[in-house]
Amino acid sequence: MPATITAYHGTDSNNVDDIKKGNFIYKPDKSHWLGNGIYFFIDGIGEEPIILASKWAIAQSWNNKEKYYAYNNYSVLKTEVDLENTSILDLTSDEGLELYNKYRNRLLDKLEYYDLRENYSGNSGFEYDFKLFEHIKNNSSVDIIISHIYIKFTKERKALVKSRIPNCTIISIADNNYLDKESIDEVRKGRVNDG
Amino acid sequence: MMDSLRELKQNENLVINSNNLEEEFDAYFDNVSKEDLINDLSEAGIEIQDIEKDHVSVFDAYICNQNENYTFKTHKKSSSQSVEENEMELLAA
Repeated sequence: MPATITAYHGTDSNNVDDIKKGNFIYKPDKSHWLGNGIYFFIDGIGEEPIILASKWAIAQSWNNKEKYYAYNNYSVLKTEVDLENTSILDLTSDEGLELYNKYRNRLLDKLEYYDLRENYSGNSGFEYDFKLFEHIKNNSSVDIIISHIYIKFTKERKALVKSRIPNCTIISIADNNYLDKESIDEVRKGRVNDG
Repeated sequence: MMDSLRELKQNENLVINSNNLEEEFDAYFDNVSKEDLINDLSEAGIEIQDIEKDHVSVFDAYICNQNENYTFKTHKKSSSQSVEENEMELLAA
């Protein structure tokens, strides 16, 4: 049985052709939840991943600083992720959380007299998580991380809802070789201000 | 919705949260020197300060900050703090 998972990514419709031609790529960004990587919604908790990907693309279209839509049309792309021949850290399970906490504790034990304060900045102080995932990936075989997480979509952003309780499940992939480029398919499109 | 993820995790071809990963983590922390760890952290974007060298200890700094006899970089807090603020105070002080 092939070890693949169907994953959904919401984006500006103008990106679709480039992604289909050149596969997904990521831009390094310290606000990413699980370190640098390509992010997808997958089956897990919350709404169906295709809906979550739509909501994400719609939420991201709004430039809140300049108060305008950065793009008018969104698309949801579906692809198959090959999970074989890689090492996966799965934080949706107790075992994965134990591993993560063990890593974090060993790091803090080793750095008893050091100060990590400068890393608690940006994105409501979660930048340290981002950096720790980068450290884990740099120093182990982990290439793929799966986690339940709380993401603010349009309604949550408008209502300024912060939460520690996850509302979706995501997968972060550091290397696009795990993505089957031929399987990339546009499965939904729409206008960002229709929802 | 969880079914497909659960099903996937049953696949014998997958390496999820493996014992090897735990061994990798142990091997890393057992063998890495403090200097190398600091370099590795820096590569991941984690900059750290040596408190022993540059500052008073975390506990002492917190006490000093409470007594207002020590000017520290953290903001002065009111007597009533939320859990989150208090967490930050303890972490950052």
